Amino acid sequence: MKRLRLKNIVTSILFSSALFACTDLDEKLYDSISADETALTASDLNTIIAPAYANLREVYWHWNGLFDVYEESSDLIVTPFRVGIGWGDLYLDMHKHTWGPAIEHGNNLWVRTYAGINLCNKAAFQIEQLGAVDNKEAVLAELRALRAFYYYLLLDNFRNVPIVTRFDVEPGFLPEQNTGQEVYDFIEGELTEVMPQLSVENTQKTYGRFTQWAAKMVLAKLYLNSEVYINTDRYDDALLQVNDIISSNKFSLLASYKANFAVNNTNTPEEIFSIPFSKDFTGNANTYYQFKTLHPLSASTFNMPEPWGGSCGIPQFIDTYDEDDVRLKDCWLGGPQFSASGSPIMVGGEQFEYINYMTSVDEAEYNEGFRFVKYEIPIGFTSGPDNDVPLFRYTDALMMKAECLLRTGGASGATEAAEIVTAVRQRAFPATPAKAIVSAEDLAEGSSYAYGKYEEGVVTDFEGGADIEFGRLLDELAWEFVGEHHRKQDLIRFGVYTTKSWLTHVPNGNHRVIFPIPQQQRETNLKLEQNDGY
Amino acid sequence: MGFMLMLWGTSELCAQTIIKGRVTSDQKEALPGVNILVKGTASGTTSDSNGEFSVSVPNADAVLVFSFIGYLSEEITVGANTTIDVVMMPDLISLNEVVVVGYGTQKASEVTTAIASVKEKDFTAGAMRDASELIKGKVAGLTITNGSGDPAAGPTISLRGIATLEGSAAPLILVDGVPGDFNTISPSDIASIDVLKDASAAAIYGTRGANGVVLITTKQGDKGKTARLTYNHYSAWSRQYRKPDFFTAKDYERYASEFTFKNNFITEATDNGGITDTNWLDEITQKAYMQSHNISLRGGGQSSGYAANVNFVNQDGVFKGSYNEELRLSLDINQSLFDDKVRISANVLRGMQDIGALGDGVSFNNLIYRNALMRNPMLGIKKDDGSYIETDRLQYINPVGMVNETDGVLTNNWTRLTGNIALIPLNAWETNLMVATEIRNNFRGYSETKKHYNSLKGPRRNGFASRANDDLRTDYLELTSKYTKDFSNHSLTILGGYSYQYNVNQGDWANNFDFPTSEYSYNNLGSGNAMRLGTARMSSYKNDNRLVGFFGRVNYGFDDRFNIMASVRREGSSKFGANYKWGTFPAISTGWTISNESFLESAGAINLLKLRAGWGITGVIPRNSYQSKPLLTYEGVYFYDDGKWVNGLVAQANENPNLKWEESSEFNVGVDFGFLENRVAGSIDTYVKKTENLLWLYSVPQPPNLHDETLANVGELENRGVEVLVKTIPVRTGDFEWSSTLTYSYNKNKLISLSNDLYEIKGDYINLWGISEPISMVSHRLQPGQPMGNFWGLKSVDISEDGLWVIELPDGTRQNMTNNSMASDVNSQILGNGIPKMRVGWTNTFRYKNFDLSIVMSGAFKYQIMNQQRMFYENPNINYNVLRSSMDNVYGKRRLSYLNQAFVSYYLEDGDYVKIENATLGYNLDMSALKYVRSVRFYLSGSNLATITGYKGIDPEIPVGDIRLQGIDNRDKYPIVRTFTVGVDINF
Repeated sequence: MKRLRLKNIVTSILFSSALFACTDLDEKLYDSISADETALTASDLNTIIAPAYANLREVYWHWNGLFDVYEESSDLIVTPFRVGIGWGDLYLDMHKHTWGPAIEHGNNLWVRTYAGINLCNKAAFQIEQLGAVDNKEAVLAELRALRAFYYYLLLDNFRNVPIVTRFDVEPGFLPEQNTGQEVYDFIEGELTEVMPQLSVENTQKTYGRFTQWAAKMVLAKLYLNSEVYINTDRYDDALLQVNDIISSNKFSLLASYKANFAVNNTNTPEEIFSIPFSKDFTGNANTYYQFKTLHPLSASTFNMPEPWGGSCGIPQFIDTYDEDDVRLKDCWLGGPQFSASGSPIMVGGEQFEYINYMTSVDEAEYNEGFRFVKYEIPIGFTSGPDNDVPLFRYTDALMMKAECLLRTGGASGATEAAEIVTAVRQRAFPATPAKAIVSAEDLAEGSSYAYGKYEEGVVTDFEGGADIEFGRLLDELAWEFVGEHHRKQDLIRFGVYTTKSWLTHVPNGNHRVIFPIPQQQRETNLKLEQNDGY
Repeated sequence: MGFMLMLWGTSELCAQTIIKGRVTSDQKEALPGVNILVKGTASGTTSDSNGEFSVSVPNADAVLVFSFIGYLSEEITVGANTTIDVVMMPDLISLNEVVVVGYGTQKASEVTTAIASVKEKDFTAGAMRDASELIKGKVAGLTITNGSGDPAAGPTISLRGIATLEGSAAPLILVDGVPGDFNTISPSDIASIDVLKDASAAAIYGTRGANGVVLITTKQGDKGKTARLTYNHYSAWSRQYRKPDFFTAKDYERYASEFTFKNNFITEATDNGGITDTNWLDEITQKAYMQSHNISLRGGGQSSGYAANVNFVNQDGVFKGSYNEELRLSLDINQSLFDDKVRISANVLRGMQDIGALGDGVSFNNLIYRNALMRNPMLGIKKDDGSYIETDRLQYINPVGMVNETDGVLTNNWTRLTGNIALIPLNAWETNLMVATEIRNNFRGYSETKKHYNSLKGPRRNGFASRANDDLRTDYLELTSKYTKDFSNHSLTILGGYSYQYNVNQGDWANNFDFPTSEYSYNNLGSGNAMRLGTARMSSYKNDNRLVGFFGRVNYGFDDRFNIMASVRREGSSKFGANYKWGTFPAISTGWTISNESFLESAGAINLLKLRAGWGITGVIPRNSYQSKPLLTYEGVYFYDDGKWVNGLVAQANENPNLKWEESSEFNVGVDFGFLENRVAGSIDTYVKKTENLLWLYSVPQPPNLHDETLANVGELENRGVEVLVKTIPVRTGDFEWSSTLTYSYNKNKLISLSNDLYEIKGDYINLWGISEPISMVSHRLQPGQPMGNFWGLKSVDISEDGLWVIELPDGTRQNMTNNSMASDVNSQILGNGIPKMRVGWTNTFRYKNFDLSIVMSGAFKYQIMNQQRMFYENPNINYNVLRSSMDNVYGKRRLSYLNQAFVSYYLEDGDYVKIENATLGYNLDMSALKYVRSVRFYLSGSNLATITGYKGIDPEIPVGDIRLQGIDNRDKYPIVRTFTVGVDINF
């Protein structure tokens, strides 16, 4: 009996402990927050739209990003293989136009741009859920305009991409690929539709936000390159858009070219749309160009951490500058080098000097090529710049106007175009104002770029640029917009990108005007067809 | 007992001689309960608690047979002796021993699953870094890879191949039932290590058992035994086993006339203090000394027992600044109450470890080693003013400066408290409650002086320091109840239980730089300026998770011939989505002991023949918590709004609320055998293991996904294999014994699928990048129908006249390689596989009088290694120092003139090897004259004595960092060492 009782007691203990045994498996979060436990309200509007905008920094300046796509595949900048340092590799695939579907630049651009589109879609979805919000329609319109800009980047670089406009899709949903024409029509339709709801202000409040003026810049660029995109010339439509911007009188040229790229370049009258940066808040944004271009010896010039000595200006391009053009100095670091305190930087008993010369892209010495320093590098720079990226400058609107007039405006148009170009050039020649003046005849000339293969300081296979229609304007665009995501598009529009040789680059097929659909993307979305030629 | 005494009584009547004596073990321990039988008669006795006995024999020709479980039987002819002292030798092949299974023990004869058991007597002796080395090569199918000389590095362990892509391949390691690792306790504190190899054994551990379970049992207090004090010591000296053969300064002088190096080393040295001759590797390495002291005390009273162990290890690494200092204490006490109806035990375990940190948060800074290899041997170390010679080459740093101007430590402290209470109201019924908590406090500190490269050049930080703390706590509760019933030929055991595990991890980290002085090291973080200027960083984290399980098991045995075991575990983890938290893991296994059948009983040569078959399901949990949650982050989402920067909020990853466990189902068939009085014994197992719902970060299309990867359960993987264990005693005479244990395992791995309805991959493969800059090429490919570990790349077959690689394309045509971008998918093919298909372990033990010698060998076969040192340093045209073999003709034709380092199949080599892991020669001193010393043993031991291989690299044993990138012999791998040890074991 006694045993049985003991047994009963133990059994009941066992049962009750099994009943009370902890089976609670809910997760408790400590250092992170979860969407299903974070209720967003109308006051969180900024929180919701922030990711869609913040993503622009990633698209633009992250490793092998938009900057490199537009500059390093062009005739302005190259990252050669440097003796004793390295590089070359895929950076030269960009230069030589030998990239395949696996090139990192292509996939980066795709992934980051679509991240922006998805974030726009998600923000719109979240805002729809919020209920009553002030300016709801305006905010949704702004997101659609920003999304159209992302699609414009895709159109420019890949042409045939899927259009996705919703965030709430079924699991496993695979978007269909659209044609370039469809993407073009989508961008035009979206921007035209939302235009009336976008802000017409240009104030601190609209800085870094998609206003009507930013949207008009995108439309203008869409029309300017229409012939490339859809084989239809629409320069007149482009002109209408830039004229709206110019006649709004909300923008003006800065007195100094350099000031556009200074550390403190926030909210200047020349900026139409900018990507804001701050060393304190966006310091982790992996902005690297100072490091990629400067040689370690330049560390003492800026009192900065040692850079990695990679990319530089292509000597043939640097040679096109007028020696009095301040933009040469404003954009490029060349010649004998000094430390921040002004003393010469010595190496092996001689002063360190960046020379405008290259042995070859496969065997460049450490000091060959001028370095791109258009964005001001402050003394004591650490990492993460303060300089905003002026994505669309007023100058751009003016130069687009000049191009449209030149192409379609006949003799009077050419004259007006020359006046515009002259106006833009004036701040570049403060000491020699006469040199700023450009005539209609000048603009009808070809390019002064000494196209052709280049080896050890000599153009071995001279092609020149005299045969390029409006080549002079193309040169003007390079001097003004080098390093401003222009050159690839400009070269394509002027028919140079796949026809001329520069440095080691030789034409490698007309299909190179767009990138292949990235391999990784075709592996995950079976509906994506490869672009022709790849 | 009464029966025995009666027998003794009857034989007394006609006795002519009474023999007295004492039975002891080889450890000079009294052995009570030894059966002593007069051969050919039914008369005999057993030894008493002091091992003493007294037995009468009919005449001088009588033979006494001494037998005891776990020991070899001894037969002694009485002769003229009246006193016979017997030393019994442990039986290397014991079938009656007890095997530790999940939540209890089983007699080896009743085991129906694939379990390997290694007892203390079979452990490898010598300087053992951790418990894994005790059993390396002794368990078929258990792969223990060290392959690193880092005193802080643990082994990589896998059982029966790789059954997961994203999780860990390491088995669950339980130390006395509580999760731990091979370093949790001192190797000398371990009594046995049992390995649950198949799912039918491991399924009782549910989601943690997919890679098998290793059960480590520590030495417990011995009830009713006199106190035993043991002291063990060893001293060991280590050297790098092999060094890569790089150019010296003299080599450059010699070759300068006939080869144009692109590295401009002569100019570089001339410009930087003149040409000298520096052996950089020698400058940063040392001969490493290691010492270990271990004291243990065990004993107990009538109803209580205790065991205490103190272990101290001090070990230098072969790199200067690399060391490991460890102190491990354990205390175990147990007490029986109320006529043994209640048993209480408590265990305290404490470990403290300091590891030298040459890098920020890491023991081994691979940059130091890398720079020592590739640095110009003609460069000097320091300038006349005492500063380090540095040049402007990128990523090219004076390694001596990095060693000297760095101060760092990794401190790990762990404390484990375990309480156990067992209620045994009936002999047949035992209920046990275990409560345990383990607290780990880890600290990392690291600093660089103002003379460090990173202070003056590179990031120019002007002094740098960082420190971090990690606090990890785990609480366990385990309640089990077991009922055993034997009736006539039947035996039945029923077990039920509940287990609860709660982990909470938290920590913080901060760095700072730009310090006013180097004197503070990492101890005055606030004095740096970078935090004030906003460029230093800090962070903290906290997360937790829970695992709850209910389990039951039934064992049934019939007539010592049939055994069956069935178990089920219902387990829930907090890491999964709401609908997938719970899983069920069943298992069933059965055994038929044919040798106990009447038709085989007459076959005297067969001592054991048992067939086993089992099936079970186990699971794998992802490593991190919260992965099914839609987590948001503010990181990097700053937004400029009307002149102010505000935070945005963005999803961290693509959400997958359907996240669940990987499931492995495994079928195992085995046979256990013992022939010729068990002088040949062992087992053979074969298995098929299929893992479904593989967790993997799948590439997903973007759009519509926010991120381009989603963690999901998609793929399927299969492992098949055979394992053989053979233990033999080829020779056994009075003075000499040779015993031998051979293990063999064969594993074939196949990826079955990487797709499902939601996740489909074009071409159905995944390329993996396993090669660092400046090569950055695809190294492996995962592809259904193929095994994991396949190398993928360009197949080089020849060298062209101008010194370029000649590549054979998949269609058989040949093409010269002019650029690394040639390595596209269309030009690439499968080049080999990095996972050994076969592994062999062979242990031989010889005993001659007081000498013993054991030799442990291991080998791996049928796999390839990517020799990264050759790949990076055998190209003579690079900017850095290169291997002497870079001057050799490639394919016997000419030197390479290709400018870039690249991955081509030329750098893949067969890895097959046989290694003498350890050889130990011991001598047992005769201590019979001493009163207080029971035994003294001296030994000499050597590890990594020889490797027979065709592999040209340092070591063909490749530790696996990332289980998806198998077979990569990393160029920066901490080289293995050869160690010689002198040791002594004293038993008081």
